[in-house]
Amino acid sequence: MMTLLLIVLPLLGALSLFVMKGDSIKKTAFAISLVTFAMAIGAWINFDASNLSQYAFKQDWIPSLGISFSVNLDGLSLLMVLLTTFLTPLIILSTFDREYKNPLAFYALILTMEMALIGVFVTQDAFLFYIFWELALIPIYFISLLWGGENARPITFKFFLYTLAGSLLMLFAIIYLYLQTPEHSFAIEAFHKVILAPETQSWIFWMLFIAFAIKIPVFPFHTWQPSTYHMNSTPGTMLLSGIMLKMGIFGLMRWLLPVVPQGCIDNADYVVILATIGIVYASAIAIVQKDFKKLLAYSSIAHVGLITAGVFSFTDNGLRGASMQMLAHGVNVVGLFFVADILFNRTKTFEMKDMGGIRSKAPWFATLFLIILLGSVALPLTNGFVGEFLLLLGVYEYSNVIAAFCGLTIILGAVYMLMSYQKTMLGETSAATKDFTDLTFNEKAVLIPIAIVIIATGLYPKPLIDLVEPSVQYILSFINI
Amino acid sequence: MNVLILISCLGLLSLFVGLSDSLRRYSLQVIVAGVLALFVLNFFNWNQENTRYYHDMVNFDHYAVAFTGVILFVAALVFMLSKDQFNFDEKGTGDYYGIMAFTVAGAIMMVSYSNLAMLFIGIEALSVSLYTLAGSKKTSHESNEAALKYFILGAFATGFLLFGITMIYGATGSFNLAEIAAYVNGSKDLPYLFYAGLLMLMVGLLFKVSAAPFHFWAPDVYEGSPNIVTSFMATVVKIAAFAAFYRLFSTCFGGASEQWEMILSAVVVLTLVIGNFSALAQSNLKRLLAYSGIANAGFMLLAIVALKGDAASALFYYSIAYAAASLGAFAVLILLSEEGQTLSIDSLRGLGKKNPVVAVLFCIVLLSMAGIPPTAGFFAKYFIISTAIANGHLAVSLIAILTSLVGIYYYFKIIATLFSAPVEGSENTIAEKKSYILILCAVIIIAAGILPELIISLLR
Repeated sequence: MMTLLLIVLPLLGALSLFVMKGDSIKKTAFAISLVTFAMAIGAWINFDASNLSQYAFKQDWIPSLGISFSVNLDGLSLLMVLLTTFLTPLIILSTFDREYKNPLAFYALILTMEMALIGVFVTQDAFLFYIFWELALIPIYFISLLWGGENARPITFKFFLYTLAGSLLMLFAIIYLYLQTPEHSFAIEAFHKVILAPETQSWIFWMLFIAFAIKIPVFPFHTWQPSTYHMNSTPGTMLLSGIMLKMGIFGLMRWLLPVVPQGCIDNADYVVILATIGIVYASAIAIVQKDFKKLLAYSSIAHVGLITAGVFSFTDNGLRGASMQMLAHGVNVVGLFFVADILFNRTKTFEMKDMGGIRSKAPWFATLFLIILLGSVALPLTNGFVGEFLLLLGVYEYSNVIAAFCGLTIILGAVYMLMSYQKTMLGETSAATKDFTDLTFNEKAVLIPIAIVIIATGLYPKPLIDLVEPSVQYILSFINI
Repeated sequence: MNVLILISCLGLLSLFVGLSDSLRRYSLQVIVAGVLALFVLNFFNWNQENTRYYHDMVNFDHYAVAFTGVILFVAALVFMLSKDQFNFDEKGTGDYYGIMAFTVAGAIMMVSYSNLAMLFIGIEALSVSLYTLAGSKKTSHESNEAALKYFILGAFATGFLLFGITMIYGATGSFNLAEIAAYVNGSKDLPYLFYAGLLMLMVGLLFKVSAAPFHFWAPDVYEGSPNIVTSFMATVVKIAAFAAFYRLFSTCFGGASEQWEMILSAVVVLTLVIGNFSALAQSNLKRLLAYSGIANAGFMLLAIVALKGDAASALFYYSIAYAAASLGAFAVLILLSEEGQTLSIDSLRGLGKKNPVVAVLFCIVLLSMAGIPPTAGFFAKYFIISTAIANGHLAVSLIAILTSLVGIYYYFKIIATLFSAPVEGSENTIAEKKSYILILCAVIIIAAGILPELIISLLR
């Protein structure tokens, strides 16, 4: 029941906004997302990680086709739900000091998006998974199109068609798998039982993988990403980078590895190599970026490349690390995009060469930026370190050569992130930054929780690792037959 | 069965109502009330013991009753949509409704026939009425052109159809579907005469459903005909044609499927590709709907290729979803034309701001056409694809899925236009209009998407 409520509440919240007016719209949206977060925390308090199906809700939907509305929580799902419900209020709060046209539609879309994202993470039925997967795309389409910046229309179309092409391949694969299940059911347990010939597994694997890879995005399916992130409004970028791309990684772990294990093993080499190319390539491009928001977009590609490689190492550490890094990356990237938003809001530019000396003007801002940045470059005792360390360990167990290349993400990441900090925060103030004001109350309210989470989960990640451990073991039990 | 007689009587009644100067303004009420009454009456045919009438000329089995229901309901909606389209003070307005009622009678014959002669009569009753309706805007050059084009090509296709029926008769010695089926299943080597007849029949029917490469008439006829006639063609006529097509092939020719499966698969691919890619280039909303109708025809043909299993219920669901979405789109089109606007897609700019209700409803309709869950359009495509895959048509299904991506592109282009900023200094948008038909269509789309089981379980 609890799981169902987690899905329904944001949706009802989105609908309730239609009777609101003026300022109460964003306040209500914020309150609803906060209540949803409280519910997720509530679910966590009484959570027994070793039980892989908690707060289950199941209701036949289209019984003649074996489709049911079946949702529950396991450790991995809960982690993703925590991430989603933690970030959504912050994303909404980050808009409080900014003006967005047509607030009613804007906040309703954000809450609808939250509903769909939670749905993706908790569903146990492949058909339902597909429905939520697509449903998540519609709000972000409108957010990109209507609140996006320059060239919103062509860029949104590229992004939208790209991801939909992947989704349709996934749909084809899902239907095929469904027809192979003995009892003709979309339930995930039925999918687990399907035994396919290795060649069939391979082409099913690629269909599903491409769908997920586009969302993540893994090189060479990433070409939609930098322009989409850059053009989008800050809340749109935060939703895309913070939560939505995790759908792809989550999909790999829940719907790919256990379903076509042989296909995964057979093609892991290709995937890991693609991911590694992506890491090096994106890091190299990030270093030469002059535009801060673009830099963040490319750094995101590098980070998720490492997560993908970790997942395909099929090791305990790799999958644990992927889970932890999904959380860490989500939190950090939302923080960083908000930093970019604050910079743009005050200086009207993303060009780093026009900034500088902000540290002396805005110490609060500079300090919080530094904490988030250190999390992002995986400094020990921050959340990024936990994830990336485990990931590299996992990849090392898979292949030490690949691990050496993957390690570049940390080194190069430190290079471009620290360079960007130096260019924007240190040195002499410029024309654009000479009147830089420090953070407002609302801005602090966004960045401080993020900084706290970065340090807290970096210092003591054990509860979270324990949370996902049984799910990780379960996933691996399919691979190591 | 009595529905068939009564709809013909209703047509006559409409003609008489139209004759009288005092009664003429009630034409619309009479026809809508009549069709809705028949819609209710039709349900009494469900689960009857004796379904065959007229010496086994028509067979009102579940399939026929279900499709008759859809046809009547959609027809009633089209009639309601015509409220402001005709001038009820003018002589001859009743004729439109009379002729449209005869078209519906033809459509009902097409979904219930159990004899090839009856199929032919149904198609002719429907087509001849439509030729007239297409040209009913007498002073319009385009309308006349549409009627003539439709008539000449339609008559040609009818020739094929009749020729095919004759050859099948020559080979099997019967017009009766059951006897033809028995012949097909009973003999090992079917004569060439039979295959030639089958091929001719197929060509005739493919023309009627506007499948490629027999689709060239559709865009011009759609564009030239009066809006209300086009919406009638796109919904009632198309559903009837597909129901007839499927009925014929599933009862008679299932046993000879290896002979036509490849040809029909090729037609499906061609139709999907041509329909979708041509729609991409359209700037006129009505023409775009014509091409999207062709693309939809490709999907519905896929149900005929699949033939077995749940194909009938998949086709049935698709018909409903398609009719609801098309009618919704035509409701918007009619709103536009009432305001005297051009029917270009650009005239929709700024609708999101000026009339958000219509814009959001239209958006739902377009999402359904594009096949985005959880709308009816998604389930419609899904049911057909999954039936096709289940029957082993993997390649065609994959092409169908990929071409629907092209469809998504042009539908979303319209959505983007709806919510983009209006053109500076122009007042060209429907400001305060609303359309109850559009609301109803959107409700059907959402309801059928949330509870698809209700519909697909009917024909299982």
